[in-house]
Amino acid sequence: MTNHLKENDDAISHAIEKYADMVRRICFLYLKNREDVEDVFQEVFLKYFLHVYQLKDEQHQRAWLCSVTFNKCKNLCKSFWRKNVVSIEEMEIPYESPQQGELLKEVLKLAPDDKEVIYLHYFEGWTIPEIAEMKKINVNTVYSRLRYAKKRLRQKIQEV
Amino acid sequence: MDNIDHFKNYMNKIKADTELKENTKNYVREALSDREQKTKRHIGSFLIKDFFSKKVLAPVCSVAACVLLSIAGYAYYTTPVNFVSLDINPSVELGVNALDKVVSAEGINDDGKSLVKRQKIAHMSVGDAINALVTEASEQNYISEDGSTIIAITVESENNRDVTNLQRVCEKGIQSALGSMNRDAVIYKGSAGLSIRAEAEDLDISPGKLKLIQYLQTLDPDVSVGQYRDSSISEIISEANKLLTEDGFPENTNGKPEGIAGEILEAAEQLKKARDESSEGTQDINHDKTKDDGLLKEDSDN
Repeated sequence: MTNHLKENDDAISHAIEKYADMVRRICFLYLKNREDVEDVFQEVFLKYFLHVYQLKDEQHQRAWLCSVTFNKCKNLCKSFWRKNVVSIEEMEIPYESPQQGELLKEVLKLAPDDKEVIYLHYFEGWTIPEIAEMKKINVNTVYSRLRYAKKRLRQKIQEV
Repeated sequence: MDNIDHFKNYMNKIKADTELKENTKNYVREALSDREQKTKRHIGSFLIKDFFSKKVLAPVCSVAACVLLSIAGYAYYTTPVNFVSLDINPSVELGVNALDKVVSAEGINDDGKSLVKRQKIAHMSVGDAINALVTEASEQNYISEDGSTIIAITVESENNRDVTNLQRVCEKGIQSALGSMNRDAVIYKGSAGLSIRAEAEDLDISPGKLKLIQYLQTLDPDVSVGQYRDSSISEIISEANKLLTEDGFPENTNGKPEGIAGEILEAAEQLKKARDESSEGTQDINHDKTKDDGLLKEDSDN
């Protein structure tokens, strides 16, 4: 029994090590303080271990974790308490250039759903149909959000 | 540097710190244990107290906690997160969990099914499993004595680090098996995204072989999957090599072929060497025919 518990413990540790950076990046797009980030981490990973048996392979696990993390972050952003009392802490990483800084600031200003599409498509490399399937929305909706987000970013910044 | 690169470079720097990860691990462990406590309170409020004495309730709840934690861990352990195709002419696909253990093994063709039946590889490390399968394949004479067989390992994964790691581990397993059987072979290492699996299953072919045939189709659009379904990897690679050398191959600025083209040309060159040496009458080929890097950069969009 002890060996079995140790193996489960290892499984928990392994999964968190594997996916923590991905969850942290999504938190970066929406959250500004440490407490919110910890809150998201705890909820997301606890849910993960209770649902992992339903997720048939790594692709599904990543998709599921992305989806739950985005939803949790967006819900936190909407909360009245957070809007009014959240403290802004210095969590920024230095930018490599002014252009990069400007781009990231504009990305962070995008609407929550637009940020999600930008991140999934350009960073995680998901195709539009894959994003549509994950979010259970129409492909055209995803195209529209991406187009709008890109247009808005182009208006604000210039290509190097 | 364009905006996409700026975005990716910055996002790549964002990491979860150790304290955050450790706090999360502790939270998850405790939360799963807390659920057991809630179960205990639930039982206590609805059952007659003297029906369950403390001596019965405490161990029962301890078992419940273990079961709950076990369910989460068991599910995690038995879920394959990556897959490995082994193609010689027997084709086998292994499901590998997050701890690099084999949790499923499927023979794709009849020879592959026979191979899997003869070897109990469930829960082995993937390297040991590959070793066992290649050893069995050698005993069944699927690997020729003149070193002219190509053994293909295709890692199906969305994670580049897992691809590199599994390719390395599987290559070691193959080398170890060949060494113990005093055989030699060309080892071809490839990779594919997980999305290829569904297509391969529809076509009743291994994902590794499908990946190579699809590449062949980019060189010659008249090629069909059916034509090469039952061919060996050596035959497919030989054909691809022929088409590449007829038409020229893509080169990077250093003048070396890149991506899958480079992999195929190198494997074909090793195959030709083995065949030449064999025809010159060399019986014992003891040198290693291994390749350094099989990561197919251009396939990341699969």
